[in-house]
Amino acid sequence: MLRLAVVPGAVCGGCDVALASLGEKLAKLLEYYEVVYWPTAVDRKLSEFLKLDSVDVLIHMGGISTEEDARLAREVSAKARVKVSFGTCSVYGDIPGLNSIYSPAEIRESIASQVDVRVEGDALSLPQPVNYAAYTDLVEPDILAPGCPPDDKVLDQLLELLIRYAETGKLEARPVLLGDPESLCSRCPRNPKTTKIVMPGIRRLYEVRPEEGRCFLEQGILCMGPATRAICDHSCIKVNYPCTGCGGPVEYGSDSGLSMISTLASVLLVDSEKVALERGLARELDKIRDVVGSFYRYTLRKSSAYRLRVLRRGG
Amino acid sequence: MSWRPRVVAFFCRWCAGAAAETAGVMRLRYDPGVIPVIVPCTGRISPAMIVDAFLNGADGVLVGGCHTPNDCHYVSGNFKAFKRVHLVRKLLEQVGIEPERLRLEWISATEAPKLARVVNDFVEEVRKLGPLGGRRA
Amino acid sequence: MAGYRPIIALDPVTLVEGVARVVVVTDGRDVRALYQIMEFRGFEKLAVGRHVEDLPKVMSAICGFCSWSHHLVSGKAVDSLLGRRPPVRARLTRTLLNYIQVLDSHLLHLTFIGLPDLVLWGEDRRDIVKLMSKNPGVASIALRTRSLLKKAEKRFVGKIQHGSLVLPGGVCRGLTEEDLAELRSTLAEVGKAVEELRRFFEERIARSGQFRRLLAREDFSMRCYSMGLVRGDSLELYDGTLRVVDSKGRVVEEVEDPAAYTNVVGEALVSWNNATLPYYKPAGPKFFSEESTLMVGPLARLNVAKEVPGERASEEYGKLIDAAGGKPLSNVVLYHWARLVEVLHCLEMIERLTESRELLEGELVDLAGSPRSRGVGIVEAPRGTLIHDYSMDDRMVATRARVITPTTINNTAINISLGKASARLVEEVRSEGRPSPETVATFESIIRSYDPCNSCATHCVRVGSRELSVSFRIVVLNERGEVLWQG
Repeated sequence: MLRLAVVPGAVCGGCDVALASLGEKLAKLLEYYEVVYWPTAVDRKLSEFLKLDSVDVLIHMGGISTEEDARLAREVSAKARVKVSFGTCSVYGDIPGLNSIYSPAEIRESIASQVDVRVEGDALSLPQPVNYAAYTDLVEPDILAPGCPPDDKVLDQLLELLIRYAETGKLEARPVLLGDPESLCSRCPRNPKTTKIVMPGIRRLYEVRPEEGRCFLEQGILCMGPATRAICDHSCIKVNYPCTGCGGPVEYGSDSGLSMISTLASVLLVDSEKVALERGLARELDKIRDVVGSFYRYTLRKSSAYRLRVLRRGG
Repeated sequence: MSWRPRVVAFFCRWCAGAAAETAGVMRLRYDPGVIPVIVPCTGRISPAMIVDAFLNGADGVLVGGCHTPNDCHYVSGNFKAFKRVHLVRKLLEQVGIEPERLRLEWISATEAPKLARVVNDFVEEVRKLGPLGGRRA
Repeated sequence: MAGYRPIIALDPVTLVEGVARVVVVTDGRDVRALYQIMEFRGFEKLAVGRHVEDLPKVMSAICGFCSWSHHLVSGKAVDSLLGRRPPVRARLTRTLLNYIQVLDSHLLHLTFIGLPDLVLWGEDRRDIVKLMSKNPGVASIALRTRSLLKKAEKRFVGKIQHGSLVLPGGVCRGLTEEDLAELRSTLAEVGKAVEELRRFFEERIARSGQFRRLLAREDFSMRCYSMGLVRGDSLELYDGTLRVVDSKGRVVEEVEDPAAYTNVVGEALVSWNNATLPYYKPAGPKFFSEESTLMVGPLARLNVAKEVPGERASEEYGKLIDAAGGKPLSNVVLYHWARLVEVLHCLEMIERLTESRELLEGELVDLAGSPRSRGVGIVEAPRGTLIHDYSMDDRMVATRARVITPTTINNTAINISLGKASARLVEEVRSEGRPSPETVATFESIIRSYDPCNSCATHCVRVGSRELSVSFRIVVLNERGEVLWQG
């Protein structure tokens, strides 16, 4: 039996549920692996787990929000033969990564300013918060499994890789970014064939009734499909909700937000630029009041927007 | 005051790039801290090129392209550039960077004096804004 | 509160979502337990600057166990910001999904945490793995219902967590006849499994001497205020009146306007926790005292409601009351049973909804309404009352967010409950050099009864900066801070 450990950083639990919900597929994996640590599902103390010299596969979930998260992630990663960065928090920082451009003190104040009573001065301490980071900022994983949480496609690919690893002891071409190497848009069930998409303006999601079956961009609705890796089977689009980009960029290391800006430039009012002119184009673009939250909702921490912020702060 | 603003200028070869050549021939002075990058069309400038310029030391980025609506050699590259620049400016603002550090100007091949004026004016504006990095947002 | 020194830390408390630890502190006379939630996330901050219509998706990331609850409550808060009233079809769709969320979460908790905890009392390991080896029948029920429910969830909102449904003033997708047909067949299967579970609970747990002993134990008692939504006097999970009853079961608050929750719930931020300690505002704050403590969740909901809709649920509710010797319910071990009552309730409510034509016809979104600057939503999440409170500017961009989760509300009660079990713990450490497994098990049982979800609770952060001193070991210190034992 090989040893498998599931180690969470700052998590919401969704990745745990995704893994636990695999049911029979998970049982198949557990024919090869013994779970030596998984705090959400298995009653084993961390101190016992840390006594082990090595683990074969480490599945890291969640982001890094405290020094404890960072210390634990580094310590267990050093012992792991195969490191899996599981879920978009771990790979790209995910939604909590929107806080990565703020200091822990700024984050604290947003809460502290709203409570009724504050009590200071206790002797007990807590882990020191750090500027939020993804697991991939600390460690170079062997397998990247994005998704919020990872969807069937990614889970199946991951299980296959881990089972093959258990059988052969080999893992080719590291790091492996799971999902299909194309944008979600490329096989969208709504894709208006190969014809050019024309975005008729920008409609905020509170202004519209999205139509079923029709390209969101063609309805004026921001959809991250063009800039997002195909890590799912169009989960949200199929239930008539635009892609928000939880799969991250098409290629590891590229930038979803900047890709999306390019795409928007290519599709927004392309049939009438010379009528709308700069003023008309600006008017539509200015309806987007939140570029960061719209284009970098899941990937801010790993983006050039984050690096610009750090540069600005002198970090 | 040893600091001098570093500006990357993406110029379309059909208009602003040609104007820059002419400005040279005409001996029009403009700030030597500007690094011109000649591109085939402003529509070719990706947001990543602009952002990379900032990340690699530029304090300002200037984009010079063909007048709208009809001067673009490739029909509508200038409009693409406009939309990209507009969105990147919004992004800069949201991460605490003055959007004025990114400017788009339409400059035709015959407007060498305008080019020199725009460049000098932009460099002056960036000088007033100060260095991009290492300051509190 | 100043001057407490840590004596013991159990790191981490396993089987609790997120990471937490219990530190028992004493000043030489009093013994108190501090349930520390250690993660640090801060959704209040990252919500600011977002398009308000994006908040239901953004805020659902607070929790992967009850992401739909956050999605739905956020939607209600945004409806309120935009002054919109979702059409009947949208409201019923959301209600249906909320029932599925509660059903799913309760089944997950019961099978992965509740049953192992109760059935394997006294064993070295109390988790699903052990339950599978000892009671494979009931453990497999759990896995079966989960995969069925997950399939339904995926079909309705695209993903098993962080799904997509809510638009301001409605939903993005209406359910179809086929959706409901599939849901009905899923329900038939789940219903059978739940019946097995119910029988198992009745025979192996409710009638066991062990359970009755736990019911009689003072360290499992909690006599405080209970809060939850009601419709009339009935249990309500999606939309109703926020009611508070006192420890005698008397109604002390009925809040119709969600925004008025601030009259009822106060929040205290202490330096030793990343989650706040809420309290019943008119009575508090009184730290570590039941007198100002608010309890939410299945047990509290059964305290605020007088009846539970649904035949089988109502019957089970009656059995629970009989076993407890009447209301108000004040033993936290009953949380598990209350969860079972709600499982039955949700099943029956979902069955009723699947028969409703209104779920299939009509508008999905109402775009009318006048925006306002503040919007509050309240739902009953699986773990209890969940509140999202937002402000926005005239560009429809969020300028402030406050989130009060059930786990946060129950924080105060958890600290008190653990405090009750702490005297013995300190005693054992002093006399034996280490706590007995039974006492450690009691701690974990108390925590698991409340079913805290620390991902939810860490929307909150600590105050004050201090040095890192967290060890993932058990550490025993005497009053002078000297290490007596560490494991």
